[in-house]
Amino acid sequence: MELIDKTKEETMKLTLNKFHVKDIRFAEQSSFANGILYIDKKDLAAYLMEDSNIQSVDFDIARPGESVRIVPIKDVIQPRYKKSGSGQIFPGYVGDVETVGNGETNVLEECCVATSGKIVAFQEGIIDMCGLGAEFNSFSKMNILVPLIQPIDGIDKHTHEATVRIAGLKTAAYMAKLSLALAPDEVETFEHESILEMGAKYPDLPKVVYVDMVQCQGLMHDTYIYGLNVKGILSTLIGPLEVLDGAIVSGNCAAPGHKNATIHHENNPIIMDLLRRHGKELCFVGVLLSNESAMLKEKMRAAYYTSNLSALLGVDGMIISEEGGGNPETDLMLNCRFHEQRGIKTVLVTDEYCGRDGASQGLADVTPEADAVITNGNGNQFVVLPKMDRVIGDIETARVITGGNANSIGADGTLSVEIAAIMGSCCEMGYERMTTRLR
Amino acid sequence: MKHAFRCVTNNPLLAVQDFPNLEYHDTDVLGLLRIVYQEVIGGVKLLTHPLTGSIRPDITPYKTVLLSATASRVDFESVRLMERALQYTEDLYRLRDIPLYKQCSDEAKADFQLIDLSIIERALEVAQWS
Repeated sequence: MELIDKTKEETMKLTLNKFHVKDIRFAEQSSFANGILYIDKKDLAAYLMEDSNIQSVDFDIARPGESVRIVPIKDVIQPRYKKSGSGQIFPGYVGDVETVGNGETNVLEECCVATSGKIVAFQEGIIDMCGLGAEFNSFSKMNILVPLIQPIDGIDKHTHEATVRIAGLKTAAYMAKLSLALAPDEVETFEHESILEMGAKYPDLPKVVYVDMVQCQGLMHDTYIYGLNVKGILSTLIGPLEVLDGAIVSGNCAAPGHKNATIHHENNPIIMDLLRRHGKELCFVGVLLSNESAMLKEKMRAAYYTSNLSALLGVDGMIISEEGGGNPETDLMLNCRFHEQRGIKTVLVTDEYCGRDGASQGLADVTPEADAVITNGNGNQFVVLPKMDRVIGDIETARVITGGNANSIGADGTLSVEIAAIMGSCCEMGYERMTTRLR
Repeated sequence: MKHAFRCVTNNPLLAVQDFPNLEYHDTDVLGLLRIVYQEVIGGVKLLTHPLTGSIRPDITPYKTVLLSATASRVDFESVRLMERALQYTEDLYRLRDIPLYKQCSDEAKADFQLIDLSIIERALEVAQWS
C-alpha cells in the first residue's frame, strides 16, 4: 500500500464572487437584479420566525448619504452565501458544522445587515449615514438592511442575544443567496497550502502567524467558532480561508467602537493582507485563536499555549489583534512577552482610551517587549453629531450606550458622544482608516 | 476538589444570589479597586483581572474581583496589575464632572449587575471551580 498519495489536494482555494449592491428596496418578491436587491419582507420574516423565540420582526433600510441614524446596533454582518465547496456560510448556524473555506462564495459588497433592538440597556452602537459620524466607519457607505427583532415575552437575556445573533446571520445568508444564479462584478481568489507544503515552497520567506484574540467572558462578551463558544478552549489553529467564510461569529457587544463584529471577521483585514502577500513577501502560516478570559491563570495559559503553537509552527513573526479593552490588554501583552521571549518578533494591533486630550495612559497594561504597536484611534475622542431626519431604532438608547451619557441628546437634535459609541470606529483589526499620531 | 477564594464585590446581585465567599462593599468601582489594592499589597493574590469584561470602569457601576483566600508573600504581578487598573480607572473617572456610572437608569444598573455576575460565573466555570 502506498502511504503517500501524491495526487492529494493540499491547497485550499476560496473564490469570492463579489457583487456590488447599489440599492436595497422592499418588493413583492425577493430578487437581485442590476445591482438592486429586492426584499420581500413577508418571506424573510417567515424565514426568521422559524425561530419560536421571535414574536415579530420588521425591517428598515438605510442608504449612504441619507439623513438617518441607526441606534442601537448589536452586530453588523456582510451577506455571503456559498455557491460551491463544502459546508455553508456561518457554519454552526446557517450551515451545518462542515468545513468551510473552499470553493466559491458569493459576497454582497457595499451592503450589510445591522441587527437592532435593545437587549441590555447599553453597549450597542450607532451608525450615522451622513455627517461627521459617517466619517468614522465604512458602514455609512453601505446599503444597510436593519432587522428589528421583537422577542417573545419573558425571554432571558442570554437567549435574547442568541436569537438576535442568529437572525442577523440568517438575514445575511438570505440576501446573498439571491445572487446565486448571477455572474459576479468582480472575483478574488485566495489560496492557502498545508503548512508542510508552504514550508517546502517558500523556505526563504519569513514565516508569519496571525493571533486573533477573541472575547469570551460571559453575557454580551462571547465569540463562536463553527457555532462553538470559545470559552475555556485552549488556543487553537484555524485556516484563514475558513475565517473569511464565516467560521467566526460575533456574540460580543462590548463595546461598539472596538468590538469585532461579524463583518470584521468575514473581512479581517490582517488576514486578507497576509493572504495577498503570502508566497511573495512572506509565508502566512495561519491563524491562532487566543481567548480573553477573566481569570489571570486562564490568561497565562492562553498566552503560553499560543506561543507554544507559534513555536511548533516555527514562525519568525507574529501579528496580534486585540478585541475590546481593559483586561484584554493583559492578554495582548502576555502574548507579546511570551512570543518575544521565544525569539518571535511581534506587532500588536489595538486602540486606546487616553482621555479627550489624548494625554492619559491609553492601555490598561503594557510590557517592555511591546515595541511595535499599532493603534486604531482614541475611543475617548469627543464629537458632536448633527441631527438626523430619521432614526431607525430608539434614539433614547444613546443616553446609555458606551460613549453616551444622560445629556447626549441635545435639544436641537444633535448627539454628543465619544467615538466609542460609533460602531467599529476604532476597530482593532484596522478595518477603518483611523490612527493616532504622537505630537 | 473545593477551591478556596475570596469574592470581593460591590454588585448587590451577588449578595442576593448568596454567592460563595462573598465580601460586599457599598462603594463604586474605583472604591472597590482601592480596597482590592490594599489587600494585594498585604500579600493577597489577584485571581481575576481587576478590569474584567470590556465595559469601561467609568461606565459600569459594578465590579467583582476574585482573590486568593490567604495572604502570603507580595505577588508583584498582582500589585503591578492593580496599579495600572487604578490609574486607568482614575483617568476615566476624570473624563467628566459626574462619571458615567452615576448617570445609569435603574434598568441599566440591573443589566450591569447581570453582566458582572455572568462574567464571574463564567470565570469560575472555565477554571472548573464552580
